[in-house]
Parts: sequence; structure tokens; C-alpha cells
Amino acid sequence: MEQQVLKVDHITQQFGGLSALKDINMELNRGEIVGVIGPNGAGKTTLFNVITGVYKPTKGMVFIDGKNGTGKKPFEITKMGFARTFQNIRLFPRMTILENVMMGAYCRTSANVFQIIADTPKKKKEHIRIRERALELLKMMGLYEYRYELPTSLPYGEQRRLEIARALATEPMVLLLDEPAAGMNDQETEDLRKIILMLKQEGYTILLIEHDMKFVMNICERIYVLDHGELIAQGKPEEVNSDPKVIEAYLGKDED
Amino acid sequence: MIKKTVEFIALKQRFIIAAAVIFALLYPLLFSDLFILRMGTLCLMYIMLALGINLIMGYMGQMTFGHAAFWGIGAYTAAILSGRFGTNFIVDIIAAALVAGAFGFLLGLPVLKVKGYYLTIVTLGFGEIVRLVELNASGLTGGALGIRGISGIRLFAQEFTSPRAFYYAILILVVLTTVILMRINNSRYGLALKSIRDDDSAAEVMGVNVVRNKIMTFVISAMIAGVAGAFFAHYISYIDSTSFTTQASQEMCVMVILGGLGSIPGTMLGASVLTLVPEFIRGLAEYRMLIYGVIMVVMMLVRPQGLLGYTDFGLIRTRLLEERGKKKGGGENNGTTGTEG
Ligand SMILES: Nc1ncnc2c1ncn2[C@@H]1O[C@H](COP(=O)(O)OP(=O)(O)OP(=O)(O)O)[C@@H](O)[C@H]1O
Ligand SMILES: [Mg+2]
Repeated sequence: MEQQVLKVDHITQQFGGLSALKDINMELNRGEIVGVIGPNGAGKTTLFNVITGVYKPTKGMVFIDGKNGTGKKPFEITKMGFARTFQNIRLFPRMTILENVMMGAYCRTSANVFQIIADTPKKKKEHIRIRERALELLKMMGLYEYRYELPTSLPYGEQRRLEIARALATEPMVLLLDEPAAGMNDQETEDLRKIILMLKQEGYTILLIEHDMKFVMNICERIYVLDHGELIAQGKPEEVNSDPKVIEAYLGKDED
Repeated sequence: MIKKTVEFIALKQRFIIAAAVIFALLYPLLFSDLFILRMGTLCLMYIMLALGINLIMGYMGQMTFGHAAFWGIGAYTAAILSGRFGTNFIVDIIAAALVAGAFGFLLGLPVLKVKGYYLTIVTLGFGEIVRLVELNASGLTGGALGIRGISGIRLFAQEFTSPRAFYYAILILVVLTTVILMRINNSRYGLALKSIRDDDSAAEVMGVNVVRNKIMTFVISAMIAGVAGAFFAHYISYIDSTSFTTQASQEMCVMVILGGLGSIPGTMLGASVLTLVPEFIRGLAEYRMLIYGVIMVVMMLVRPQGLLGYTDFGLIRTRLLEERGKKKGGGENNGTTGTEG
């Protein structure tokens, strides 16, 4: 059997009377690229929020690399090896682009406040290490020359790439990308596709939310389809694409 | 014009810092006038207090309107200890830091639950409660009479009481505070603080234990204020609760807001200006609060981050030097660097 890095086990998430997720089961194996699709308000982002500890699920469990991750705080989940990007970009607007990426590496540093105030060699070394790692990632994402600018000075597509760089700086095992291609033009989307394939080659496991069906079909090995908080289909892209329930969900919502 | 000046300062910052340190060291020798020496000493003490507040307001982006309480707690701790047990200055400072830090921890706890305006109210209430306790716990604090006859600086089996000794004592404390802040700023802790300021829930998702960092920052900031309080008690030798009011807290906040959030030189500038101007222009002293109010409103409208707010001279210098290096090295990428966003 393949190595399972994420298992979502009978997850239900309620907001007042609204069930944003109903009894969802899914899993993710090491090295896979898996898509989560569904119409607006289907519960995709909520699923990410449950996995990353932003919401505590009403029912069910989340297992991260075989360990129970249910109810853990977001910073603990990040430390366990899950990193995410946000649907509505959330970079730190008053920190430089370099600092934004260094911030991602924060969870892989450990100097305590006494070591920081005493400026010990350990602290200096680890600060140089995360700075260098951040610069490397910026080069990889083609953002190196903007490193001292603020993230707000970047065009939209590059802000999304910066978010990916920041997530990579956490040294994740799994990357959760929430609509990474949203608002990108064709060229930017194509660049993103290359980046994601490169990341797969480097051994990252990727869970991807996306609206752009073509993009998902192109890149994902398996797909989960959510609608109104329910998992209505799952499987290979071709299978999902021809599933009548999926077609109905999309036709019923998007064609207005 | 402004940009050129800022760039000039950024490039010459080592020289400017060295000049400032030398000036600060020679100050008591250059000016023998007691009033001038006293102004310098007070300036430095307010710089220390404002630097501590800036950690919370500028770097972490939270409001605190009760900081005079920590200053007072430090002052009373030092006054009581040295009065009853004849402790030396180092012991007083450490005790003041620990006691103020403990209260900072207590105040930090509600940060678990409240944010923004609520936090402001909590800190305000805290400041008032501490003042009322100081006023009424006569057995410990002397109540409305306060504590008189506090000793000078006891150190090495001597007691220093000269204005110069006090000046150098606070200068050393300010230098230490500045070094601590610079080191925090340039560390993982600094990154965490800035990310909390910018977006605390995104910071948590990126791996920051927000609650822990907030509490720690309250403790450190309170400790700095406590030490400044210990100094203050020995310096003026008489304390009562009227020094440590909400008004004093607000004055410290205005210093930071005027000078610059998240900027060490800005804080120094703001604290100096607001300490010196009302003292030198006697006629203005009465209008102090009015002036502060006007400054607050104008700054909020025109430049909410303060004069030097979030101006990172180190960063500007790095950028300028790199641009120059590039031009010398054949000018690759010329079109893309140096453009302002
Ligand atoms: N914190 C919250 N409180 C109350 N309701 C919420 C909350 N978060 C999400 N919801 C609701 O849950 C449902 C699912 O939202 P979610 O953001 O997960 O959808 P989505 O699939 O990501 O949609 P989109 O494609 O628009 O991003 C929506 O009806 C939304 O209004
Ligand atoms: Mg969404």
C-alpha cells in the first residue's frame, strides 16, 4: 500500500444551521497531486480550514501522516508538515517579500528569547540559514529581484507565486493550494502549471482546489468533487468528468 | 527632498550612530547646567519607556494605554526594596523587572480572548486599577503620601547621588534596551511580531504561536517599563501615585505615534521632542495635553505610522548599496531595480 499522508475521516462541519461539510472521507498518498473541485460555496475552502486547524470540525477526525491532527492549532499543523496558500491572498503587507518568505521558515527555527537577546551563535546561524533558504526559493519562483519590495507592489499572479514560496519555506510534506490559478492570465497559469509539476518532481504531495476545470484535469491524478458540503464523486479526471452528478452540479450552478 | 535625506541618513547611519553615542557620552561634560542635565536624563528615561511600548504598538501592532502602571510598579518595587532592605541598584532593577514582568504576564493573559479596541480598554482599566491600589494600599505604598527619601544609586558599597551619575545610569539602560530591541527585530521573534501585526490569523497558519508571542511581548515590554520605573524612583527620590496615571500612559503612546511605529530612531526622536519642547517653551507646558491631542489627530490623518514609522534604514542602505554595486558591475537588470512601488 502507498504511504498515506492525510486521512479525512467522516468530517462534518456546521456553522449554525448550515452544514458546510457533511460526512466527508478522503485520503492523500505521498507524492500525489489531488484536486478538489466543486461549485461556489461547495465547502472546498472549509475543508482546507478543517485540515489546517483553522476550524475545529463538528464531527470526525483528521489524521496527518498517521497521527491524530484533529483540533490541533494551525501552527501545530504547519509544524507537522502541512502548508497552505489562501484563496484571497494573505501575504504580510508591511513585511518585505524576503521577510514574507523567511516568515514561512519560522516554524523550522527554535532560538528562544534568551538566545535571541544574547545573540548566540545558534541564533545567528539559524537566521542566516532561513534567509538563504528564502532567497533560494525566491530565485526558484522568479521573484528574487523584488526581494526588498513590499508584496503589494507585485502583480496578482506573482503574489500567488510568492504565497507558494512562503508555504514552501515551511519545509512541508504536503502543500494545500486554494485556487492558485484564480485571477491569472493564460501565461501565468501555464507558468503555475510548470511550477506545480516541478514541485511534484521534487517529491511534494499536493492537494489543490481549483475552479478552472481544464487546469485540474490536466494536472491532477485524482479528483474529489464537492457540492453543498457533500462528496458527490471521486476518481480519475476522465471518470469524474463524465459523471452525471458532477455535470449536473456544474450545470445547475455555473451556467447562470 | 525627503527621499534624498532619508537615503543620506541610511547610507551614513554608522557615522550618525557613532556621533550620537559620542554626543550622549559627552553631554554631561559639555553642559554643566543642572536643568539641561535633568532634561537629558528625563529624555533618556522617556526614550526607554517609549522603546518598550513600541515593541507592543509598533512591532506587534497592538494598543496599550496602561503602560504607566508598569513604570509605577517598577518604581514602587525599587522604592520599597531599597527603603526596607537597603538593596543595591542592580537588585532593585532586577526585582522591578521581575515584578513588572509578572504583572505584564497577568495583563497579557486577557490577550488570549480580546483584540483591538477591547484590548485597549483592558489596558486602560488595568492602569487605573494599579494606580488605585498604589493610592490605597498605604501599608505598602504609603498611600497618598507616597514614599519619600528614596536612596540614590547604591552600587559597589557606595551611594551615587550626583546628576551625572544618574545620567550615565539611564544612558546605559537605554543602550541596553536599544540593543535588545535591535536583536529582537532581527530574529525569528521579530518576524513573528511583524506577521502578527500584519495579519495574526495568517501568522498562526504560517506557524506562529500567536498567544505565546503576544504574552511574551507584554512581559518584555513591562519589564523595560519596570526598570525605567526603578530608575525613576531613585532619581527623583520621592514617588506617589500621581506620577503613574493614564495621562502618563497616553503621553508615552503619543511619543511613539509621533516618532514612528516600529522604528527605534523614530521613538527616540518622538520621546525627545515631546519631553523637551514643553519644558523649554514654558508657556506651552499648560497646553501640554492639548498639544498632544492635536499631534495625535494630525498624525492619524497625515501620517498614521509616525514620522519615521516603518522606515527601515538598514533595508534602504542594503538596497542602495546593491543598486550601486549593480551599476558598477555592468548594469544588468537596470530597468527593474530602483523603481518605487
Ligand atoms: N466561518 C464561517 N461561518 C459561517 N459560514 C461559513 C464560514 N465559512 C464558510 N461558511 C459557509 O460555508 C459554505 C462553504 O464555504 P466555502 O468557503 O468552503 O466554499 P468554497 O467551496 O470554498 O467556495 P468558493 O468556490 O466560492 O471559494 C458557504 O456557504 C459559506 O458561506
Ligand atoms: Mg473557497
